[in-house]
Amino acid sequence: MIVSRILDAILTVFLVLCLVFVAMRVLPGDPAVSALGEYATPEQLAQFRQRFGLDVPLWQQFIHFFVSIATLDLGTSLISGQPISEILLINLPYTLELSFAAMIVGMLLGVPIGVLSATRRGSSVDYLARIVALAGFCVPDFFLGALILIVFGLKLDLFPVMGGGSGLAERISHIVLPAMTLGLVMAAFTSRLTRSALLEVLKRDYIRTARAKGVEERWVTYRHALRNALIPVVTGFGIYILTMLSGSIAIELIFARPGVGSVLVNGIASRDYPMVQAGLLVFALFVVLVNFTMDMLYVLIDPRLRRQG
Amino acid sequence: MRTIHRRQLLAGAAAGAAAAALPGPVSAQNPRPLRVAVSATNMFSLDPRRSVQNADQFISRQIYDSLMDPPYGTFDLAYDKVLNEIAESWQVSPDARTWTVKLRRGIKFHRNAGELTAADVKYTYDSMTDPKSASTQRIYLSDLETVRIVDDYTVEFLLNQPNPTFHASGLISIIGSIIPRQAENVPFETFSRSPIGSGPYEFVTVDPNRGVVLKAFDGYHGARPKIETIEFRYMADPTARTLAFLKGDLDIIEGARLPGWVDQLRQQKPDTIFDQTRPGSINTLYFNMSRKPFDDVRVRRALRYGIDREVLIKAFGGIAGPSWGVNPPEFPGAFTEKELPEELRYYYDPKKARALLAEAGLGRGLKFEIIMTQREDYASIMLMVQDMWRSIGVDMAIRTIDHTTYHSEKNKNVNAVVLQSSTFAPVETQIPLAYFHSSAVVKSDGKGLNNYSHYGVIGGGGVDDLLDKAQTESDLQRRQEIIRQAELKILADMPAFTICTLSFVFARNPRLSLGFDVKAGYARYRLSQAQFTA
Repeated sequence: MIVSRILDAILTVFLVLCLVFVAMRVLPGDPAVSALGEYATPEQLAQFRQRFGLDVPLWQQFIHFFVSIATLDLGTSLISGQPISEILLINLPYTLELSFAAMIVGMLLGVPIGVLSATRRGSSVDYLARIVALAGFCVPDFFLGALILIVFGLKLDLFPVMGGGSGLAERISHIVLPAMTLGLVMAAFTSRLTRSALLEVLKRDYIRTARAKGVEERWVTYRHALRNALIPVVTGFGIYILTMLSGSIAIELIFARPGVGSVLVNGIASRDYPMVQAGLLVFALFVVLVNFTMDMLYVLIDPRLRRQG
Repeated sequence: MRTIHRRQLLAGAAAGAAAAALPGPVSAQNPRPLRVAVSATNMFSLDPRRSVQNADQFISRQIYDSLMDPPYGTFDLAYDKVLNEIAESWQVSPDARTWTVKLRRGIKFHRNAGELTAADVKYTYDSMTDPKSASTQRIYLSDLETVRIVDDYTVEFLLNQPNPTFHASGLISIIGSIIPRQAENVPFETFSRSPIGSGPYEFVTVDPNRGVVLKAFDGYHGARPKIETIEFRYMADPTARTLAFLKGDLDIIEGARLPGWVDQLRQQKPDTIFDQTRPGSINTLYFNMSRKPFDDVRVRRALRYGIDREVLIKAFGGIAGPSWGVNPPEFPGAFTEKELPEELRYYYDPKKARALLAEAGLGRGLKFEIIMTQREDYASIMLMVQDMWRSIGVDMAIRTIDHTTYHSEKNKNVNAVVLQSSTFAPVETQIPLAYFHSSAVVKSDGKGLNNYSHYGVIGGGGVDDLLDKAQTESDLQRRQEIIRQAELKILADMPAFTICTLSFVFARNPRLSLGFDVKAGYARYRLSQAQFTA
């Protein structure tokens, strides 16, 4: 199973890179003009293209691109001339820590609210949880981010409003608001998913049997029902983490945080091909890793999958 | 003479970065850093020879001294007003083809890179004009034949044609920023990220959180800056910049050139100081005369009459201004409203616009589509224009695309109407030559230049001659007079018109004094005299 997953992952990354390679070159706009400015002479532009291998046929660029990736050479930015690996090494930790923190917020809030909502179905708590979750779905993350920033950063002055911070304490204080933004949206999604999955499981025969045997209700919910309800939750969670990556781009801009998202946006705006390719490679690897982790989690949660091997 | 090699330069930068991480000497007067946020996503280049981004140039202005500059906060380039930085004195020959600059003695480069001499000046200009160089400034030095070293502290700029305003195009910042000649062993890309200048601040590091960090240069030949450290942050999102400014985390922010931004910030923080550099960018609308019906002067005039410039200027809340001629009124020799014949003032007149359209056979209306960048200033202007034209029966559909694509596409002659926002030194010949001379015509393969109207190729007879004549005229006043004649012809033919000028605007902490008032100039100014007042 693991070998097949790895092969799937390699194929996925390859296809993503092909797509990115083609998409970047189909887009109008010239990296030489971005780097040298609107008034660069045709000779200067030609020299630039020659220097960075942008004047050779596409198929040659394509081969060069994959050879570079295979040899772990991400190249240099066409715009700043800085090695791309250096740029990613600086920015990647900020993206990872934001995703991780948002995931924790989303899980710690979303799962308990979903359980509460399912076990008290039809009560005012359930209605409130559903309304809040719906609101979480409807409000775009960039808007929520700005709102949180104004309330907690500006009005209450509790947290910093820009940057990623340096040093552990500073980094934690800088991550609270962006993680809260992404985490709240994720919590809305997770709570709804948990609620519906749990309601489904609570109708099953074995739950009725457990109750008939006199098992305590809390034990029925958490030991018997929740564990089974978590399988779709984990699937949804995996999917949401991936969509959260795109959300993190907007959040990085609003909170002026460093991160791969901002690097990617900059790269696309300036048609910095190697930069975009490398940034999306990181995202693709992240997606593959998340999927792989989710698959492993299923096995942990569901003993039947373990037995199937 | 000491030579700096790439490794040494990198080692120097690393040492600088490490030193920045240590608790440095704290100025008794101003221990807190000055924090500035510029509107850009990231740093492109701090090498002035390869600079394309306003944000980078604001930082470079602190790192490099220039041969000369207008008095701080102004764009006054009158010979008797120009401020010498590296230059001690200068003179221009009667035929305006030789500019001689005497340099101050004892100017030191940062990081012990030696004393600035004539050889550094020659190296800087040679590296910009070298056809093999990737310098973005080469285009502005097309009339520079060579730089001759007279002695260690004197250089001559020899031009291939008279240019009484060469100081404006070639000697003030950012082009006039001098690089140490030892940098010739260092690739542009490396120097861009680890620059060495002779200005009041030296580069320390670039950090994803603090941005570009500069510290006061101990060996500066002028007055030592009062603020020890400046941090420049790249923050593309105007909301993020505004909120951080409101919180007090930033002392200066580049404003959003959007209708209402200044008023909104003023409401939130009434004591904010707004620094505006007039005229700022010049926003001109070009009619593509190679396309029907824009080849008809009646249509172009109708569209001009259909724009209420006053409404547009008011919407921007004081950061926009009018331009009556091709050159904005802030430029020497430019037309004021009253100097123009009444028929060339083109006051808003929708009735006349509709009548002209009817006369051109478009009484039932005109419909066309354009592409337009999403960038805030462009998009705001074009949405207002769209609305105004709708009221005269012109239906302009706008397809919005990203800024890079817009520039790429507009240079391929795909648009019926082109909006271009550009910034120029106050030199009367620059705009007419760049945008109205037939040699600058745009081409569909993208290899042309910036004459988006095709003026001179289609119509505009005689204007090329006037512009050529102006270029060979060594007397400044006569040159201005020739350009004014060309402007009158352009206004009558209406291949394009300046909708408005749009100042670069910066919001400033009221407790921060710059040491001068910002009235005009590019989107940058010196911070060496800045100090916190409370």
